Amino acid sequence: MSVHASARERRAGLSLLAGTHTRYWLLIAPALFMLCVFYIYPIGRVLWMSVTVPAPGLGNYELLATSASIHKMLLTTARITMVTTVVTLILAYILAYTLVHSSPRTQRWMFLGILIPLWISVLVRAFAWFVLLRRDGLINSVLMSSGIIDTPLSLIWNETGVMIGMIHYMLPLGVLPIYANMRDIDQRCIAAARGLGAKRFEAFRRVFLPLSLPGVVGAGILVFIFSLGFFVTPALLGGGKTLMIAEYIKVQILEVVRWGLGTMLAATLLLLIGGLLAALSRLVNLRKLFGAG
Amino acid sequence: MAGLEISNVTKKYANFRAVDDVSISIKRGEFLTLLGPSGSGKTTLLMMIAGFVQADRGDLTLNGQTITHLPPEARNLGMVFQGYALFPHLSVFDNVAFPLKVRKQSREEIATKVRAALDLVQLTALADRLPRQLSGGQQQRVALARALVFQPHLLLLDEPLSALDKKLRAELQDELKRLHRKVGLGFIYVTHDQEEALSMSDRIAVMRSGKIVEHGTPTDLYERPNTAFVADFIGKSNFVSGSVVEHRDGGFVFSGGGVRFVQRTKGPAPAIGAGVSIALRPEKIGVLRSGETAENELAGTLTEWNYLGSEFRLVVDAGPFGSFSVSVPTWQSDLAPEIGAAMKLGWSAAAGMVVAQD
Repeated sequence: MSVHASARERRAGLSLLAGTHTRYWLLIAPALFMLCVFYIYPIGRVLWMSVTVPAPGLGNYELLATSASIHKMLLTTARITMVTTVVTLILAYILAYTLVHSSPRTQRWMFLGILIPLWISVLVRAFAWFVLLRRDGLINSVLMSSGIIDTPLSLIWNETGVMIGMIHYMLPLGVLPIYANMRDIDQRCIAAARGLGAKRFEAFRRVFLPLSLPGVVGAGILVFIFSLGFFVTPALLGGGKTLMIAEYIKVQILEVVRWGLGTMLAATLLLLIGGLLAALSRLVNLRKLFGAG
Repeated sequence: MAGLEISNVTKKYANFRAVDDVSISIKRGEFLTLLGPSGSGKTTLLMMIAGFVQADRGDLTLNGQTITHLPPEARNLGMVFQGYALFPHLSVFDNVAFPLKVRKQSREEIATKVRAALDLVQLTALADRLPRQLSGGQQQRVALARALVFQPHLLLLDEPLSALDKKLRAELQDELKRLHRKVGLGFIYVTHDQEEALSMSDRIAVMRSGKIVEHGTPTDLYERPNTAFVADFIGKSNFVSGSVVEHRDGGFVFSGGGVRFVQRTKGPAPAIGAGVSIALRPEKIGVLRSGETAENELAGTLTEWNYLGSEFRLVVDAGPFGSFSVSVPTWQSDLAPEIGAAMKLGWSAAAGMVVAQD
């Protein structure tokens, strides 16, 4: 009797559990549906087209090895991404260091200065750089009129312009992970290093710097991946002469209508970033880096 | 002079004097404790000695050399921080090797000295571990080894045991004392725990509101405190005050609240008519049985009692004299405490300690 009763209870419990599961699935179904239709399906199509258009096979991928214009574009992309990442990290490190060593009041103002650009459209920011960097822009006219230079510097429509715009965009993304990491460094450790005989710089080099490296790695990954596929700023500030991969893909698909080549490059970019993240996740704890647990 | 001389140092924050005109010296090999409640300035004083806080006024002299304005790294003082401040990214060995590395010593020299320091604190087996893989007690020993390995002039300790549980704390107190005897350095130890101060120090400086109220050996401060603050902060005390009415041989009589008390003194007695306060330790007060008498007697009622195994801790309400806390050894008493019972407390003329009221 009691055995039956408990079996029945267990069954009831199971169906209740199944009931909750169904309800959870129902709740996430709209989101899941949207994700499938607008994200997974198009990406699947892109991957599929890269091996089927114009003819089935790996013909598009062969171009990676043979096409000179693709080589040039990849090299440009790599160069700009690297320089952007390194310069952003250096600037972000200095900013974050200043930030953690400031009074709470100063910190609030600095944060505002760091976050406001994040809220302003990337388009607006690119056009703002036009005003500053043009041949007859603010920077050139000030430098000319003060006699420091006699021919205007070309700061825009080239790689320099692209990098200036990208570094400006990436800076907050670099500062935040580094700041979060530095804030958790026990200041007493630095004091202890000084007390044990280390000069100011040595205490920084031997204690603060190694303890802040995880934040730098996290910021590096974030900035590098963002830079790699960046479109708007390079397209606007590069003036069509400095082609990075994202703009190159756009040209292939919208202008010369070579879907196969465009989708192949998109797929390559996707796999490259996936591969990079996988490799890095073996080196560092990505979940922790981006703030989870 | 070998040792540290602190003369008239002051540190002000806004309009608050964290350390106010403090002078004290510590001899080589001495164990000096800075004892005081939180906010008394003991940690600020220690940080001034270490060089992390700059004195607004006054001077620090170490072995005859003025160090008042030297940066911390130039003072050659060992320091154990509250919470230890071990370097989390370095192994135990590298933590202890740190002060030697920044002094550019050779690899062999470093290896030998680190081994010796780890031997001293019995941690040789754990040299390769990271700090987070150690227990609190072990971390604290690493901090000690790291602070001693470079043969500093003095060792400064900022509440090094406060993060540990009671049993471990007692163990490490013994170990610190042993270490102190062995290395023969001057130790300056900051704590708010008076028991810790009593059991470990050669000398205690009691601080309050940025000043040193009194300093002396643990026995001096416990048996012969000069101020009510120290009498109450080190151990516990009951206070009786009144004004002097009569001088006697080796003492005086004072009256307070309509009761006359006799008190013995070593020095000259206060003038007739002067106000006096005496402090009484709970263990120096007895409960009188009927028919028993004492030189000083006070009647009251029992309001609270605790049985602590070795003693009864009683709280007796003595009317205008306030509450008295009394401890009676259980082995010599047939006391059966009952709340509300009338009690007669008694103490001898030698039991009280004359203290300055503040």
